[in-house]
Amino acid sequence: MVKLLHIFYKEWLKTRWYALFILVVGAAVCIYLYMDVASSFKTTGAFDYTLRIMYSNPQANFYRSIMMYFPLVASLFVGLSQFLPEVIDKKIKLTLHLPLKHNTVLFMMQSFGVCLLTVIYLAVLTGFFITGLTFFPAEINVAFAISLAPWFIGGYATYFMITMISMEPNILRQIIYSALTYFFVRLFYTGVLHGDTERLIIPLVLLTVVSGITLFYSINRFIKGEL
Amino acid sequence: MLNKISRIALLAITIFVTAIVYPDFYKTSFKRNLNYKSLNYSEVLNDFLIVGTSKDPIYDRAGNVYSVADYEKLIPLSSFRQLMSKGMMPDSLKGVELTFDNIVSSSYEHRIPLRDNEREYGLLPLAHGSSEEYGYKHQGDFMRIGKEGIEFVVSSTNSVDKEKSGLFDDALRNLSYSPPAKRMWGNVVPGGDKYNGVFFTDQNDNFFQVKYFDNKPVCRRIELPYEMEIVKVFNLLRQGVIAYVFNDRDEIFIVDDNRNMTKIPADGFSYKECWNIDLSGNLFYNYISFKREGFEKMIVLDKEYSYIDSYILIGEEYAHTTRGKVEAFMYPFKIEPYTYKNGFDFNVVMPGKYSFLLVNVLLASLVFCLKRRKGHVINKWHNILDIVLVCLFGVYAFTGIMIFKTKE
Repeated sequence: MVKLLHIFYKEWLKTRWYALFILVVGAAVCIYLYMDVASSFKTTGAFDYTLRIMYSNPQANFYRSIMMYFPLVASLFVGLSQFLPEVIDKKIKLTLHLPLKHNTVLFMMQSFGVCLLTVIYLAVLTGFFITGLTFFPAEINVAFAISLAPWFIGGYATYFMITMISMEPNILRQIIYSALTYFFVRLFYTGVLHGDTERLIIPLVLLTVVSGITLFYSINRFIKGEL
Repeated sequence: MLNKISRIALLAITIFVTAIVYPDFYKTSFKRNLNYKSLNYSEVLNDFLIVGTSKDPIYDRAGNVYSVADYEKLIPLSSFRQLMSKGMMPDSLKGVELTFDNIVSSSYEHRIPLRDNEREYGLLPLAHGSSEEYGYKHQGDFMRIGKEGIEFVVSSTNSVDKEKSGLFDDALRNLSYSPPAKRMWGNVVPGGDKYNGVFFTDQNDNFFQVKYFDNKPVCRRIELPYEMEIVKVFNLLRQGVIAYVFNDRDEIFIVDDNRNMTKIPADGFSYKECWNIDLSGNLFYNYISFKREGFEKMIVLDKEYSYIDSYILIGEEYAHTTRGKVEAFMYPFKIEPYTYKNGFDFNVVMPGKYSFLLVNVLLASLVFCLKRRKGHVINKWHNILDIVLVCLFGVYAFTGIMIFKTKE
């Protein structure tokens, strides 16, 4: 157990500043978005702006352009800060020489990334919805949550695919995996109207869970030295 | 073992992604060649006219072809502006005088989209009307019917107006409503004095109308002719008729000013399959027209909504085109992440029944040969699985197997 905590600490040392940076960016995004809403409330009136959010064509959407890509950027920061130092100069070999099973080490590394992403996402979403509930009725916040869900689930899927690509020893294969990842991750970054992606959420969660174990394919190839 | 399971996970992802990307790429690689035709009804001929694109001829059911100029004369109530500007408008038709005023006042056209892609928030504005002022105005709040009953949420404070909510709740409780509302429908833009407020169904599928006039709630229960679940209400701003109602049995009703529901003959209509429905009318007739891929039906009714005539126009479906047939041959299924009818959803579509099997078996044989050539032991479970996956998922699984190879 202590050894596993040591791995967590090793990962924390690599990612802490990037995680802190992305957390600050997330907080800034939330503040900016609701300053924009407060300004719209003053200029167009609370009722008219809320009406525009629900029923105008196109709908007023104050969060889509920024919040859509925040989880993607966060997962890139966490994933790359965690795995890039390992694959540059094959430093991962040192990690794999620890007195633990290879899969256990990699699983713990990935679990740390998932926990870190969850903390970042929860902090940003808590800020977003606590503020949101002061401006809009719960029904509208539910629609926002449904819109945000695929994007944040997509953050995890992106992270899993980054870990899989990072550990792949062959560059040509990395390019092929990246192309597949592009089309895969694109499925998550969708939606036009508030809450119109409700029916995508469960399939996307299942796909993300499936993508969570893809790392072991690459690490197996890495250990075998397949080029 | 974990390595093999993770490879299966990657194959599953590849199959899912390519089932979206390949058919999409295939479809967009070809120029669209839609053979678009639509129906119209001539009040002069008392017959249907089939109208295509500008290059196609206009013809009736008997096959008689008409020029555009003739066509305009055959539908004088739809093309009265063109005919009047040319001085060719007839003075009367079927003994009824044709004037600008009576044509305009009797004509209406409502295109009702039957899409299922917009969110129903359960929050609608309820505009207020007054006997001292023309029209209805928004009150800065939104109406909801939750478990606690009807509530009005004031936007500026994001809090419930308890006094107003209590007034409406009392009125609705007198009509024996059972909150929360199942569904609510209303016009967001009040639009003059013909505003009909908000319609909703309660937990017992009872149907209600709520209006707000002279600071008093005007709540009415609309008696359903028989037990039914209402799936859509199209709230109208039209004299004499306040709404079109669609139920779960693919029936359509009109609700008049006296809250009487009258069923409109609409045989062949399917709420789940049709993209939209057009309800229109003029001095002589009411028309219903509904469309889905490769199908359009137009029903002609008299002014009392009794059946007169109908015609079905069968068009070319994508599956029956050469492109569609080739697609059915190549892909066992495809996944569409967005459709006009359902919005965002992973719709699994089977282009053909068994036509893909040949390609799948050929690809599976190729995988078998490649594995044999590389010295794989074919009767190992993961090799058998690869062949089975290609047999089932064809080109999608083949792509995955080519990317994520096994080594023994």
